[in-house]
This record gives sequence, structure tokens and C-alpha cells, in this order.
Amino acid sequence: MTAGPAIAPRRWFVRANATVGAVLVGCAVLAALAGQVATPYDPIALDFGARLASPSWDHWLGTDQFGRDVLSRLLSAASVSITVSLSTVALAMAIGITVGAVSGYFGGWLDRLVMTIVDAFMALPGLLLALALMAAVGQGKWGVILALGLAYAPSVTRVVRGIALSLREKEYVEASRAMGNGELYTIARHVIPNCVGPLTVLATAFFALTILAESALSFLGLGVPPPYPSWGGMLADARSYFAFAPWLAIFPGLAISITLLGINLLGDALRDRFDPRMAL
Amino acid sequence: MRYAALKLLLSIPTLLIVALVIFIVMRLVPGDPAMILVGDADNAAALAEARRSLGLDQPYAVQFGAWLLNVARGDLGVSLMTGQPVLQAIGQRFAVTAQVVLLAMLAAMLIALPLGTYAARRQNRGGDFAVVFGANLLISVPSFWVGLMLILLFGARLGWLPTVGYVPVSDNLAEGLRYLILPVVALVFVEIATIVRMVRASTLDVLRQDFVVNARAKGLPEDSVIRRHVVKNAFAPTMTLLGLILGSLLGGVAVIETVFTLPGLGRFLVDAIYARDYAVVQGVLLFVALIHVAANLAVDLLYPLIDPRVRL
Amino acid sequence: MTDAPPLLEVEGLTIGFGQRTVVDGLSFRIAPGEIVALVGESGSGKTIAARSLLGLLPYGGSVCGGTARFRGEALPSLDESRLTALRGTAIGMIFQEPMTSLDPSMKIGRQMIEALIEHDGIGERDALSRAIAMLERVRIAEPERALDSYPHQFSGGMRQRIAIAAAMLLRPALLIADEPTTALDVLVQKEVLELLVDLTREVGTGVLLITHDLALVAEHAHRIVVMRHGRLVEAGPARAVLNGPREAYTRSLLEACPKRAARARPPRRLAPILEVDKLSVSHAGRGGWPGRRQAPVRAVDQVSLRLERGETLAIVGESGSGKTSLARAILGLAPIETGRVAFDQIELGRIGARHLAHVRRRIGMIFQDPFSALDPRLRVGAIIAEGLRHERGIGTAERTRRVERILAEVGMDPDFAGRFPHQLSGGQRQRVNIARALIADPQLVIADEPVSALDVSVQAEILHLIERLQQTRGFACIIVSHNLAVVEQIADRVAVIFRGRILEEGPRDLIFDSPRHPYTGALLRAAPRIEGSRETGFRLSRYAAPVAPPPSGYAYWPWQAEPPRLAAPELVELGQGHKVACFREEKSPS
Repeated sequence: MTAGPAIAPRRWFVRANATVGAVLVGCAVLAALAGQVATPYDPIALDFGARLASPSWDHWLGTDQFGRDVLSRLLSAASVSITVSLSTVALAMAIGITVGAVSGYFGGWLDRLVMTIVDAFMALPGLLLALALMAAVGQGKWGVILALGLAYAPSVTRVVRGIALSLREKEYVEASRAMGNGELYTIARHVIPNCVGPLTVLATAFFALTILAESALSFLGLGVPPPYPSWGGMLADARSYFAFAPWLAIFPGLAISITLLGINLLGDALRDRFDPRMAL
Repeated sequence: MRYAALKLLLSIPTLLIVALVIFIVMRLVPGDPAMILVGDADNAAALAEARRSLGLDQPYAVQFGAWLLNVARGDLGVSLMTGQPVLQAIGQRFAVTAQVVLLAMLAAMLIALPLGTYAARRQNRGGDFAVVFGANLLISVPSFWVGLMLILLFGARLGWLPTVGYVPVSDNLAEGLRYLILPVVALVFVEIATIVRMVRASTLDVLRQDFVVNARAKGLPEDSVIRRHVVKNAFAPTMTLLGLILGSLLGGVAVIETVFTLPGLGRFLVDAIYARDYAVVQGVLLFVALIHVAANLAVDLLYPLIDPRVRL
Repeated sequence: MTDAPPLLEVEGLTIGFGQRTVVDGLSFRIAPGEIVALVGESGSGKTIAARSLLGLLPYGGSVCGGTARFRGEALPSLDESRLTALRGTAIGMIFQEPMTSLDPSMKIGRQMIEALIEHDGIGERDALSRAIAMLERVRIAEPERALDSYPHQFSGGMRQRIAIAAAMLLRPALLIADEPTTALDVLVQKEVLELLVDLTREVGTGVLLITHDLALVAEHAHRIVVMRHGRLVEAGPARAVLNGPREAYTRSLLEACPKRAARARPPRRLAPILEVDKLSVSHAGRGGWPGRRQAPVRAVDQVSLRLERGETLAIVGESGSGKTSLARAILGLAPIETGRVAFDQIELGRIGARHLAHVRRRIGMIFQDPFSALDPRLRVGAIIAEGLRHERGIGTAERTRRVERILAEVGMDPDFAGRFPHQLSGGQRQRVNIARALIADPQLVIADEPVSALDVSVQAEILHLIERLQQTRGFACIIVSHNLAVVEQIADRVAVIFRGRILEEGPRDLIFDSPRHPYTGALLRAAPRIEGSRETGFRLSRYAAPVAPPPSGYAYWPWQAEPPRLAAPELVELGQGHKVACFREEKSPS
């Protein structure tokens, strides 16, 4: 039986993931900040003189059909995407944690009732539910946040409930009750702090999902409305100009991919730390 | 048998609640269907008449009940866009969507199952790292962007494969498949990544178990050990994931159909939302929910075949 | 036997994982047909050493020195194909956990014969008939049906017997048995071990028996090899090692087996601290769906107990006997179905939640698994101080002082208060558990298997600690255990529980010296002990327990047969507080 040092390569890999992930996410955050305060050109300024220019020193990533600078639009879209996604995650987690934790910890008929409702919601794929909700709440940033948040809250609830269920069985929770501590104290002191790890992992994975979903919605024309640029929207626009301006389709997609890759790598590293079962 | 009957029974309340949710959501949509029908905001009489014909003047509970009754009879209404009965329209388009989704699932499993097992066997070595990183890569690229890039490469530049439109496979197998290749490839990246991760994790779990060491200790060659003892036990958790995968595929297919202009269910839904064709939206959502629930049920019923500890 | 060439010769075997050395210079030998016991506590490297013989080291481990020769062949240097040929047919292996050592998704028959077909190339039918014969030999009823069944349909003891049958089917010259009985119940342990020894003796197979329980193997082993921290401590013929151990560590292992000592009877003053009266606790049956009730399982069935202040009562039973449910019900952690529990005259079933919480603070509980009973996110000091939460008017300084004081009392350094549970050893964690249970100065302490998860040497320390603390603080104690030796050391009175019913109860000495119920007798006979001391030498002994086994046709529980054959017997007083519930003792109704 041959062997090498068993642990070192794995630690290296996890660390590499974490580093690369952090760097990529950092870039995305920087891009988002830049998008808010300082872009090379005004993202919504039209300039018909420079329409569909291919990448050059003036316009690093080229211009679109209205002469708008692609790079600036990308940066601005970054800030839109990221703020919308973060808000969505916050909303879905808020709902999911409240409902899921209570349901999982107290169990019994409440749990069964909640889970039946959650199961019903989950019969519809998240994206489709979000589409339908978008139709109901109308367009606009807040509409997207609400629709996506509500559409994905059921899955979050399910996961949190699972976490709460497993924590409830832990002996130190029972020990706390055996000592004479009340339910609420036990939950606050022992259950919730031990949730932080798995919840962080959940939030990271979920963050990636919402960025993707938001882009998909925008691509379909049902997300953040113009003139605010969004990555998905830029991709949708690019379709008509494929033949002669392929850069319009390449860069926004690349931006999404890089951001998501960063989040996913980071998420893997976090999972390794907090959830030994799904770890590398 | 009891277990199966129970599961079947339990899915009915689920579907009822889904129907309710869909109904409520549709009622929340702004805009007045009567107005769309009539087209004239000032003609009060015509509007009232339209509302009556659409059943909108009844209390909500009655409307819901009426709708459910119609659904039970197979009447999902008529599409505003095409004038076709909704059920028929769904049926036609579902055939397209089903082909894409099923091919995608098949392809994903064929690639991901061996890949995940391979990665688990090479844990903490180069092969494993490559697969895990690769999976992260695949899961990060949006499927619609992949679709666009594929169109760019194979359609616009190389011209090898058709990128727009559709030929039914029943008409012409080879041609039909050619139209499906690019959409399936675009759709499949994420699924491969998801399945690979799951298979890898569960294979790692199984490899740690005593019975695997026991199999080796009996003198079985490694390949036999993997084949006979590891693969089956590792597949069980993945199987429970299949329902979820189908769900996410049904969601993602809407976008892919838009990219490749396939006449499928997803694009139908998006078009209907734009056109405020509520009958279609309701019908499609209900149909998708039904398929999803049925698929999960099928997985549940098949599970005991893999894991004899669960009794049917 | 000593003249024949050795079956296995291990010389200076050294195994490492990266930088860490796990086995260091291990040497011993096994002659054909000999049973050699490899004894060590957790972390001693015994399992790793055994697995290395078959080339089954976990990832990252490698043999970096010494060798192991099987019939002259050096095992570490063999290539994979030769090793595969040797595995099973020349060297076989049995594992500790019967729950996980069989493939859950494959039928027993297939699992048993696949290796046989692989090695010997015989046909399936042939192989199956041999398997049936072997299953009969290990006393599995209806062997044909067993072949067609799945592992989860059998109990732990049966699975272990199947595993033995499967291994012996290949007729190995050497069988490695890695803690084969550790995960089994007391009565089953004895049965399985005796079966193993019989079968191997019959076939002439040599056995490497790995264990942490010296007493268990002393009876059967020809030679004993003691390991500690990867190194060989002592090796020699079993009798010699027992009678005159040369090394201090070996001696400490022998001395650590719990011993009986005279216990000062606490004076009986005031009312009993705990009264349990015909208590029954049921769990909902498992399975079934919402709205439909499965037949509830009676975990505790009409149990009555009394506990005086300062007294220690031991509740002894195997797994599934209901002893843990009983302990939890006393704390109010399990719902009481019928009957009453009164702590210091307060009826627990009748009071409200706040009052119950109040009462719980006067009862301390020590849990079985020291690790999972401690919140991993809190430091030791915070964990212990939580017990002081309800005392008013204690400032931070006073709190810290009390925590440090009790840490000292349980024999730990005060600066452990700043550490996290994962930084402590098993014994240390259990001390923290004890400290937490005692800091509020409870009048009753319930200890659920307080030492089962610990190493033998640490067990003794913790038991002494509990005894000492009881003497200084004077609390009453209920100890729940399956281990009779532990109970013998620390209990004043003993109650034997089986399937939710108390079968026998009485003062410790009476129960151990003259038990009256056949179940008690069986438990006692199944528990080997090591007696003696450094001066007089150690020897293996067994409780005589001269109780006749139940008459044929009776099991221990005829009242639970379907349909119930007889009403359950009631407890009958035999004098001096000794009670027994047995058909033979029942007075005929007058």
C-alpha cells in the first residue's frame, strides 16, 4: 500500500479554493462599488457615433448598439445584480430561518403542517414560480427581490428545518433542558449559535443561485427593467447583434461566470470547515 | 403496497395547495382580463359582459372551485394568443420540452455517474481536484450564456448545427436530434456538476464503511468491490436527488427554449406572461407541478429497489 | 505447538501516517491454531496494526519499518494481486460493528458466497450448500431463508454470527477478529465469543483477537500482547501475564477492573429523596404516517423504586431494556404515561413547567457520551457556569471562583475553564460533565452510563471520582449501566431491568452473591472479572451465580410472547430488601 502525506494535498486544495474564491468575489464586489460611483463612461449615456465598436483602447470592452460603453455597463450591472441578489438572500433567509427553525425545533403537528405547505410550494420549480410572481408584482428592482425571495424561501425553509431537527436531538440541548433551562433560553443559547456554520454555507450557495436566477429573469425581459443595465438584460440585447458584435454576448456572460465561480469556490471552502459530510 | 398508496394519497393535498397558490398568484396580477378582451376601457356594458363571461363576477372561492372542476374534466380554458384549447397546446409543446429534458437527464447521468465515482476513488489526488474544480466551473456558467456561445460557435461561425427552430423527432429522427443537440448540451452542464458532486460525496461515504473494507478483506479484487458493493449503495442518495434535478431542469428549460427558439412549454409560459394569457399561465404552471410531483412519486416508489431497508 | 513454524511473525512493525507514527516496533508471533489477544486502549494502534497485515491501511498510512511474515511470506512487500489471493482464504477478518460490516443492499447469501466463488471457483449451488452448513454451525435458524434475507432483518448478535460464518467459510489459517463483541449486549457477547473460539478450534484456525477488554479474552487466549501508544508493552502466555504482570501499565489495566469494596451505609433519615410508583412510559411506535398511530412501545412497564438520601441505586439492563427511558422519565424529559414520580415529596407529573424547571435544578444529570453532551461552541467555564444561572446575586467574580473550585474538585486544572470541548480528552470531558451536574449542589444525580464511552483505565478514575464526590457532598445517585463490574464497585442497591420491568432488586451484596432470578444469574455469569492485586497476583474469576436457568419452554419473558402466555409476575419480598419477580417465587394465591 503506497501512501503519501494524506492531509496536505487536501488542505492545499481547500486553501486554494478559498483564496481564488475570495479574490474573484472581491473583484466582483469592487466592480459593484465602481459601478455605483466611478465608471469610465456613463452607463446609460447614448453615443450614436460609436455604435457597435469592437474592443479598443477607448472602449476596453467595446460598445453596444446605442454606443454605450460595455465596460461601464458591466460594472453598473454588477452593482445592480449584487445588491438585488443580496437583498433576495436576506429576504428568503429571514423567512426561511423563522419558519424553518420554529417548525423543526417544535415538531409535531406544526411541523407537519408547515412541511406540507412547503412541499406544495416546492412542486413548482423555483424559476417558474418566480416568473409567475414577477407577473403578479410587476417589474422593478423591488419586484424582482420580492418575487425571487418568495420563490426560493420554501427551499431555504426546508434546509433550515433539517438543521433545526438535527440540533434538537443533540445531547447538549437535552442537557440544557435537564438543567432546568427553559425552551427559549435553550434555543437562544445552544441551538442558534450552532446554526451559524451550516447557515453560512446555505447562504453562500443560495447567493450564487439568486445571481443566476436574477440574470435569467433579466434575460427573459422580466427582471430589472431598462435603462438600468443588468447582465442578463445585456445578454438578451446581444442576441440580435451576434454576427457582427459577438463581444456583446461574451463579456456579460463572462462576468456572471466569474462571479459565480468565486462564490462557489468560497462556498466549497466554507463547507469544508462547517459541514464535514459534504466536504471535500 | 401500503407505503405506495400512502404516498399517492399524500400528493393530493399537495397538488390542491399548489393549485390554490397558482390561483392566488394569478388573481394578484395587475391588469384586467376583461379589458384585454374588450379592448375599450370606456365601454362599461361590454366590460361587465366580458367579466361575466369570464366568470370574474363570482366570489373567489367559486371561481377556484369552478376552475378545479374544469381541470378535472380536462378543460384548462382557451388560449388568448392562439385560440387553441390550452390542454392541447400544452400537450404539443410538452412533447418538445420532454425530449430536451429527458435527453439532458440521460446525458447528465451517463457522464456524471462514472465521473463522480472516479473522483471519489482518487480522493485528494490530482484527478479528484480536477473533477471538483471542473464541477465548480460547470455550475458557474449560466446555461443561457452557454447556449449563446454554442450558437456563436457552432451556428454562426462553423455552421455545423442548426441553432433555431425545431424538427419533430417523430418526423425525422436524425434531423430532429440535430436540432436538439445544442439545447441539450447547454442545459446539461449544471446538471452534470450537481450530480457529480452528489455521487462523489456519497461514494466517499460508502468507501469509508466497514462493509467495503470487508469486501476487500475477503479477497475480492478492487474492481469487483466497486462494482458490486460501492456503486449501488452510493447511488441511493443520488436517486433521491433526481426529483429535484428534474425540477430545476424544468425551470432552466424555459430560458433555453427562448435562446434556441424551441416551441416548448417554457417559452410558451414566458410568451403567455407577456401576453397576459392567464389561462395558459395557470395551465402550464399546474401541469409542470403535476409532472414534478409525479416524478418525485416515481422516485419514491423506485427507491426500495436500491435500498432494501426501506419497505414498499 | 511451540515447535511448529509460526503462522504469523511480526517483527518491529512500524506504521506511520505522514509525520505521525502510529505503531512503533511491534513484535509478536502466532503459532498455528493459537489464540493471541492483542490488548490496548483507544489510540494504542492495535486496529491499525491488524489492518496493515492485510494491506488495508486507510489512505495515508504506510508500513515504514519492520515486517510481518505470514508463513514466511513478508506481507508488506507483496503486490496487490498476491495480497488479494491471500485475503480471505489465508487470512480472514471480522469487524467490530455488525451494523456496518455487511452490505445493506445485498442479500446474505450472495455476500457469503461471492468470495468463495472468486477464490475456489466452485459453482454457485455448491457454494450455497456450504454456506447453509456454516450457518447451521453458527446456530442461525432457517438458514435457507437467511440466505435470501437482507442484513437489516437480523439483530446485532445474529449479524455477527453471520459474519463469522462468512469468514470461516473460506477456511482461513489465521482469523483477525477486531473487537468482535464490543458492540454487542452482555449476554450475546459471551455467546458469540464462545462460538468464535469453538469454531476456530475445530478448524484449527489461529486467531488474532483484538480487544480493549482484558478480562473478556483472558479466559480464551493462549497468549496476550499488550500495546500502548503504538508500542509493545508486554507479551507472554496468558496465564503468566495475568498472574504476574511485569509492566506497570499491564498492572494498571488489571487493577482498573472495578472491584467491590465495603460501602458505608448512609443512615436512613427523613423521607426518601425519590419515590417512583408503578411508572409506565411509552414511545409512539415508529413508522406510520400522520394521523395513524402505530402500536405504542412500552419502554418502562410499572416500575416502582425508592431511593434514600445519599444512597446509590444502580439500574442494570441491556440495550432496549428501558433503563435510559426510566432515567429520563425521572427527570421529566420523557412523558409519564401512568404512575407517579415524586422527588422529595413533589409529584413531578402534577406540577407546572416553571415548578418543574425549579425541581430539575436540584437534580443533576451526567450523560453517556461526554462529547456530544457539551456545546462545542462554548468554553468549559461557560458550560459549567450555566448550572449557576438560576442562583441570584452571584457576580462574575464569584461565578468564576465557584467554577474554578469545582474544577479542582473533579481533579482538573482551573485553566481548563478557557478551553473548548474538542481540546479535551474523553476522561476530561466526562469530568466537565460531572462538574456541570454538581455545581448547583443537587440532591440527586442521575448518571446514564457514565463510563461506557471511556477507556478502562480512565473508567476507574471517574468511578472513584464519583464515589469521592458522593461522600463529601452526600447526594443520592442513580447509575444506569449495562456493565455489572461498574455497578459492583459503586452501588448500594441494584435493580435489574428487562424489557421495561424490574425483575430483581436488592442490596448489592445479596444480588451479586445470591441472585434469585435466572436473568440476573445469566448476566452475572456472562461478565468476566479480574480479581486480585499486585501482591497476590491477578486471576480471572466469574460470578458463581448459582441460579438455575429457566425451565425449558420458558424464555425470560413469557408474558410478552404473542399471545401472552401468563400474566407478568409481581415483585415478591424475600427479606432484607431483596425482591424478585419470578414465576418460581410467586406465592400461589391463597
